[in-house]
Amino acid sequence: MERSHADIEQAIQRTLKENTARAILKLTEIFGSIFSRDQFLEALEISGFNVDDTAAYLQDRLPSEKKEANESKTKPEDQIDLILQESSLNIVNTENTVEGPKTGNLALEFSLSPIYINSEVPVFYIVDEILKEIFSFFSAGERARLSSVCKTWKMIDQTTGYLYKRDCHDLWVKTSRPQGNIFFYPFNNDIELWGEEYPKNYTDSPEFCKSFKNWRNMWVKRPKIRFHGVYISRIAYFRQGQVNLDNLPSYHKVVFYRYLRFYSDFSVCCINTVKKPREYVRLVDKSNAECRLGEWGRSGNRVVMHLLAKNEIFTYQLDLKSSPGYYFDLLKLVKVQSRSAHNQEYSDLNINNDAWPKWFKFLPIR
Amino acid sequence: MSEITLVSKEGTKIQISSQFSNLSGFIHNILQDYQQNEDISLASVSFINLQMILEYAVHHNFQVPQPPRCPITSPNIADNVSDPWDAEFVNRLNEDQIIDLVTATNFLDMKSLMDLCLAKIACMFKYKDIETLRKEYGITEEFTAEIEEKLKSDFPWAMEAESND
Repeated sequence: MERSHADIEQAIQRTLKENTARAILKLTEIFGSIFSRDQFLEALEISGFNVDDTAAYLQDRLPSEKKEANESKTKPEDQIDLILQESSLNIVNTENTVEGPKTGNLALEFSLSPIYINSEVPVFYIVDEILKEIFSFFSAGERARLSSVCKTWKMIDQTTGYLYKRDCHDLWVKTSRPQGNIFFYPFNNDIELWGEEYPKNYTDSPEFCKSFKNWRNMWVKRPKIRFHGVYISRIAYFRQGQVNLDNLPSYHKVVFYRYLRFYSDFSVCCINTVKKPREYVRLVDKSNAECRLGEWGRSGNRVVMHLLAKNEIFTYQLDLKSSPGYYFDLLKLVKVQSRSAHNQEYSDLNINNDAWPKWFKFLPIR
Repeated sequence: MSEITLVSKEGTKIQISSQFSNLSGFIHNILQDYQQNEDISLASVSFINLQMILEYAVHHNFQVPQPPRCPITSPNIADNVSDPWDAEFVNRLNEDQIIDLVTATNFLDMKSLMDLCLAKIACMFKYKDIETLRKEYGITEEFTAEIEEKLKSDFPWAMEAESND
């Protein structure tokens, strides 16, 4: 009788261990991708699971190779690793699962509440009102991007249309009608530089603005100059050099870049350099000694830009164009005029050769 | 300059200058009909949060500080606030504590500190692509492939933002 008692007790112990192991396996499946490993172990300990026992149980059932490989290491941590690895077979990358993402804390908060365990609902526990406040810290582009994360965020983006008003204001109201002449030298007033129609013709008509119906639409479709990056053009052409020793003509390949950066205070800087964009875009700034300063204005799709050279002024006319999927990220060079600082006469420059840029492409700076 | 007594969720009492009403709308309203030596109980603010709020209030001398830059321009909170102390203050909290603090400040109607915490959370989202966000915050794929395609075709500029700011 005593012997059978002991048998039953053993059987019960084994069943318990089995159950615990199964429970841990199940929990790992659910939480493996959310918790980091340490957090998971801590949670197990708190809820009274005997991790060591389970590990021993599992180790008995593991393939012999693994057992041999791990016999030398007897630390409980390694055994736990085994459990986690064993249980996360259905998750592709085992290493990632064991390590866990570093910041999963926000998600934890919800997954701990019973509704969210093992459910397909997004696990984001911030009240919508607060989420709206968080969204107000983002620019329009960033918000649009976040809205495709999940349905809740999409809803938040759709209900925060008033934020687009702020963004539109930043882009256009401040910048549609330059007041005063920041480009003071060598002219004293706006009319000398811009002509008499200025600034009336350099702002969008109220009818045009109303045609956008809502702020969001306006932010997307109204022509705009972007301020958070640089417009770049790459210019490459062959130049004939001196006749060489064999009495044959030689050619040089000339490659340089032209960088344009616009500012919301209607100044613009332009740099010609041979340096490549990857290393140079961050240096394009008004404080750069090589840059040529100027002033810009926009009417509709047309951007007019006056650049100051040593003794003359170059007037560029550029068109805002869109590439597929983007809005107004290209500038097409239409016309260039020059005039000396002393007389008011314009002379057109021939831009139909390779030495002039045709297109400028926008590149954002982070 | 009078002092008021705040009582946290756990029942701990804290003395604070009544100038605190500059920062908190909740306290401001309560002080309209406040009896001397009356305790103000804050049912949803824990002692730890209350301590942090007081630390913040004392540092800013009970005056509303300059709000963080909006929209934020960098994923580093220190670039978006004018006072470096503010950045240190939120940087030493983890996500759970920040959410906790937001709930507390929301209850107290403390716009300045709440904005600081929210800006910090916004900084965590900044410049991260959609997949990373979903993975980090345990958000499961909600949109079917068709809807996602439609989203992309309806709002190409939403995807454009991945390369822009």
